[in-house]
Amino acid sequence: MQADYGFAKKKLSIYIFGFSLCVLLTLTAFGAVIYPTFSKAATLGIIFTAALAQFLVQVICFLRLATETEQGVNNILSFIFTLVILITIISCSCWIMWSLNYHMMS
Amino acid sequence: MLRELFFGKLTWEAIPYHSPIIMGAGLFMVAVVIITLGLITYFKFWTPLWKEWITSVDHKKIGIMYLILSGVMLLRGFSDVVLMRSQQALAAGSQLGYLPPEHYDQIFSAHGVIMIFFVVMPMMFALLNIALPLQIGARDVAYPFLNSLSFWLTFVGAMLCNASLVIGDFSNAGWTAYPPLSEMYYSPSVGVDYYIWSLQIAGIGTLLAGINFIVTILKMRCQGMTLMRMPIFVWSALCSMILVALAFPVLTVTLGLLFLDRSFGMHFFTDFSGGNPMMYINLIWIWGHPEVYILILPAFGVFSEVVATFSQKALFGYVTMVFALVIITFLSFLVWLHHFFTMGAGANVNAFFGLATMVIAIPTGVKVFNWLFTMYQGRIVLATPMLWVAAFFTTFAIGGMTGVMMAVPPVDFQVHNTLFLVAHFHNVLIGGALFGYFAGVIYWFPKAFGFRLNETWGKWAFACWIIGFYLAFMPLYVIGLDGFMRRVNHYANEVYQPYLIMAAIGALFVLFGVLFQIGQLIVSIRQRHLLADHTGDPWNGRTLEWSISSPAPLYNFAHIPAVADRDSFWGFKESHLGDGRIHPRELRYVDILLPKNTPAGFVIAMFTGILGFALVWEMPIPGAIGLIGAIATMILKTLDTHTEYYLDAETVKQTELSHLREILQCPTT
Amino acid sequence: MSHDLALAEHQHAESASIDVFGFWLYIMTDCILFGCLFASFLVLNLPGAAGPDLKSYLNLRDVLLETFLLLISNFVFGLAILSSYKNSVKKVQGWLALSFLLGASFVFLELREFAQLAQEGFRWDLSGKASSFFALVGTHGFHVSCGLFWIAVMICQLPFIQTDIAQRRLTYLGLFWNFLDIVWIFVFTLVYLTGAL
Repeated sequence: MQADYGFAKKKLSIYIFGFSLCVLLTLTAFGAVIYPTFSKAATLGIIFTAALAQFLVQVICFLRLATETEQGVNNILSFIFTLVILITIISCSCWIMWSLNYHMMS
Repeated sequence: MLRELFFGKLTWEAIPYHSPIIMGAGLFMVAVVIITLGLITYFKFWTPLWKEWITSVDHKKIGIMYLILSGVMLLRGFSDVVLMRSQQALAAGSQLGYLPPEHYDQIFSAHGVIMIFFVVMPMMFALLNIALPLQIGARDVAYPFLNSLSFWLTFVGAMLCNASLVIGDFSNAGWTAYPPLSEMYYSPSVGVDYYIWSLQIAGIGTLLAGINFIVTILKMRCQGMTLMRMPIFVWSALCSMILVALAFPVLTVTLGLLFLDRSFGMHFFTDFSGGNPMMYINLIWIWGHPEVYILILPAFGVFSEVVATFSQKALFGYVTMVFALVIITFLSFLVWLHHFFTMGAGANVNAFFGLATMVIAIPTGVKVFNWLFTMYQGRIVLATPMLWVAAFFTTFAIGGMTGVMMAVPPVDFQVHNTLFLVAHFHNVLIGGALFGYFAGVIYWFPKAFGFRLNETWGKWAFACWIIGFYLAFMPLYVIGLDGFMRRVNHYANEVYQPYLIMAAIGALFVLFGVLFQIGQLIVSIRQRHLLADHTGDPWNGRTLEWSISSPAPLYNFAHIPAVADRDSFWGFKESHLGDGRIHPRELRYVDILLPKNTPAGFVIAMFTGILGFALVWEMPIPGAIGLIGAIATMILKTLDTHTEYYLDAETVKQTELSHLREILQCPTT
Repeated sequence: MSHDLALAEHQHAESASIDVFGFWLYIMTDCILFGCLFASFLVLNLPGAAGPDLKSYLNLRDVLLETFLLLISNFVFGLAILSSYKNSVKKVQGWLALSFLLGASFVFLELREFAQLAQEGFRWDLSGKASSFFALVGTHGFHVSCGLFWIAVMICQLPFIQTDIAQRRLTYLGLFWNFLDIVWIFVFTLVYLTGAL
């Protein structure tokens, strides 16, 4: 009886597909910095987009996070909640620390 | 050279010969340990202690051990109170009292750490362990071995904190250990290192327990128990454990970075070379605020259970209660800056967090009203747990109101770090969390031990606590508003002395309350046959834990129940009253799969303790022994495939039948 | 013995699901842990912070190589899991060993990078910037090292444990290994690439 781990079954085709995408995205990001062709803002945009894209590719193709099973839904919900808290902590910390620096260190 | 490898910085000078009070306390503690070991030997209890308690993975036994740890540490934390209150009552004007600042600082630091990490949290986990699996109709928690490991790691953390009393000293940077004071330059002694490692170790234990209970609640409920049919205590536990899982890693990082600063000369929180002490304060409160909600939410859960049971009425507004819990859980991550309004952030930042803090009071208020509505038109029984609930309503309301006052940044600028703040947080922690857990302990004591606690002694303890609490903290609100700062061991203006003397008298009343509680325990044990719970349902309860014998059998339920509604046991009693028949299906007993006891949790924790002590005193070889020992034990454990056994159906049948006989022999009321 | 075989099998499969969920939750807590390290890094690297920038010490080609080593190691681990579906212990051990080698090369390169940085003066006790760099990247490297130790233990243990337990443990390790690669995406983006601009 196959246990419900909450992740879709790994398939070689999806793996290879995901791996190729990751290689592409990594090369794009590094390439944009090693061979600077765009403005700083545009380059930052490229590397952040590439990072987010690669994050999604790895989560969907490698981790195989999916909503097919009940446990999969549990996994995704807990992941989303963790990400929400994470983004809150990081962004509010930056905001607070910037504000403190601005008001107290001039 | 060899000496350094084995003993690091540790020398005989670490023992505090020159401080009579500390030596006295330390010797007393050592004496207690020796007497305890002696008693165990005298009663030939070592074998059962090892086989049935230390190696136990049974949530019921682990819960009891958490309770014992909590009770013992309460005595240590409370002795800090006696010292502080007496010092402040004496040290006015030209009198300096008997505690110099360095010692006083260690006392309030230890007091905070012990009360939060080693009294309230263990008491909370005790109740979660004793009651929660029974409430959801489960045989145990999701990871019994991890449960044992969590307890022993917490125990080791507490023992490290206790060790600091006799070997070395403890931190004097407060329970939150702000840098730069907690950095190596200003705190060169091992005190802050003890603080770091006892909290890191206990923190890992707590984190593992958090994951354990989340999975237990989400995956091990009995058939038919949907999320919206769970007892509210289980909901409050779920929310609290989610907070544990998300907040404790922050503590791990924060203390880890402080350790790197102290031991490796890094610059996270130094005030030069690019460090930022405010970052520590930011991080520690990202953990610290959810931590106080971790402490209070299960207490709210206890109140829901106790109010419903002792009003003999279903909890009012179940769905609203659930929503309130979930909203509080989410919002508790959005308010942490209110702990440092005064530290220089701009008005926008302060306003955002001030508003969020005020908003979080709303769902809490909803809960209080729902409890009151539950009591309305109920048939109230004023047993001791209900007394604690009644006290909670007023006390927590006052504490909550002062909290909302301080949520307004301009007000907070006046009272930040005064005794007003101290009174507020003790108000909500004692009036909210502690009263709740006391109620919970009395409520679930029969389920854990098989007999109730003596009501009279309980009521005397309650009376002393209530009077003591108000006497101790109301004066602090007054002088705090006047500007009396916290953490001072002496003050020049004698006009404050009468208030502090009143506070000291309050502490004395609380001391009597604690003594009455100890007395209650002793008297109840002696009267245990009179107070025995024969039916398993001493309070005419509503939830599943009251449907089995007291104490609960090893396997909890002979047949995992199937429920169709909330408060299913109450419904079962209502519909079966007068039935008096035993249904044949219930007489078929099966073998029950149970986890085997294992020493691994205890052993890993002990090695971790050695590692912790070695890190404090920079002892390379003991540190290596601790690390390698812990890892080796973990690997050996993974090779152990015989972790479960079957309890045969015949034993189950005999246990169940003897319980049924016990019920039948009870006089009907 | 009157215990229900079907029930026991159901409990067993249930327990696998329960176990993996718990490990997933642990990974969530590890996310928060890394999140705080990222937050500290970002805060201590706000413009105007004291101390030299990482920029002048950076060698992006080395970082690219490290990235590929970890990525391929992650992919190879997936191949190990696919082999485990076919129940061939030797193949799984083989892929795990390759994954180990790639991961170990990653750690080796990273340690070499740290040693070079220290030699050139970018030491961890130099400034807040430097400390946060070493803490973030170092913690990731420490996690990878623990993962390598675990892979090694797993390779040794595999012939001696039951198939379903082996699959469960490979799943945990796979989640952990994958998670580390995901964190690395953010490390190289926020620390190295942003730092080089």
